[in-house]
Amino acid sequence: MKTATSNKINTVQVLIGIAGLLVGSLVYLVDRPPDQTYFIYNGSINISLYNTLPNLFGLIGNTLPAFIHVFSFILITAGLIFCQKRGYLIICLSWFLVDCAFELGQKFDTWSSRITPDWFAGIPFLENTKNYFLQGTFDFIDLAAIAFGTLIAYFVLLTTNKSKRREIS
Amino acid sequence: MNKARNGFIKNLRYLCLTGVVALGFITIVATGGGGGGGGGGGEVDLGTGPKINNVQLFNEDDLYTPTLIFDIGDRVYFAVHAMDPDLDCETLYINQYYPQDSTTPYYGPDYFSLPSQPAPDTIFYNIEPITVAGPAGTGGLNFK
Repeated sequence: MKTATSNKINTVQVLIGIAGLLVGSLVYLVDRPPDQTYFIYNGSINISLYNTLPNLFGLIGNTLPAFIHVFSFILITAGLIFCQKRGYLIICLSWFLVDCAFELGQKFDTWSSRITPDWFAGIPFLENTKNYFLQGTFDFIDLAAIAFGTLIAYFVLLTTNKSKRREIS
Repeated sequence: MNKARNGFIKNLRYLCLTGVVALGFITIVATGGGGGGGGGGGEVDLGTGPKINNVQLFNEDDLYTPTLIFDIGDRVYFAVHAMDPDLDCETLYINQYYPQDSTTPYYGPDYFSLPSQPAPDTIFYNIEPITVAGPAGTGGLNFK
């Protein structure tokens, strides 16, 4: 007798993750000047609502993206894999490390820009990698937000885990 | 039939996962590094001239330690930190002065094509180097 997980997607988790990303993008669209965000100033049309709508998030908007990024991508990844507790831990830890690595890359900007491949230049989105490290600001509060986002995501995963192991004989 | 269907769904899921991971990385990079400190308005300042904030010179032998002292024959690499809100920095002009306080260029201007400008506040690295030709002494460089 062996156990297998269902071949389904946990849509609740994926949808919560996508909703999180949408909220996160509002920070960039509404609260931040367009010249601070690559995907806004590099677009062919002006999608920024900065100075059009009132500031939505206030001070929390400074750290909300760090929280939301790790939270959303943990949920989307876990929702697609439809795994169990151990899988959740691995996913949480992986995204936590990725986000921390990028944040720390801003602290050690010379080193991180040095290891950024030169062929990124000219490739949309990737071309901003060096600037991300060199112009971005390292912040311990962002690291705390990433840790907090990981924890909250883990608890959301546990509460939305509807997977029922089915027995295959 | 069911087996093939499950296999297809599984592969599709791996594809989606790869996309999600790639998107995760891209969203980190694409939402930052704009340079900060700008702002003030919702419109990008079209037609604004570029402003050079800082220039660092590097000897070919050590591309990570900026220096101002070179020997004749050394190849000099530049890192130019420039701000241009309308993202159209294309050419760097360099005039060389000798002696340093001379108001007439000893040589130049030299024209250098700049790599594409990804952000209003950008540090350009991949600029063609120049070779120090002399004369010996203290000279000046002017960047535009």
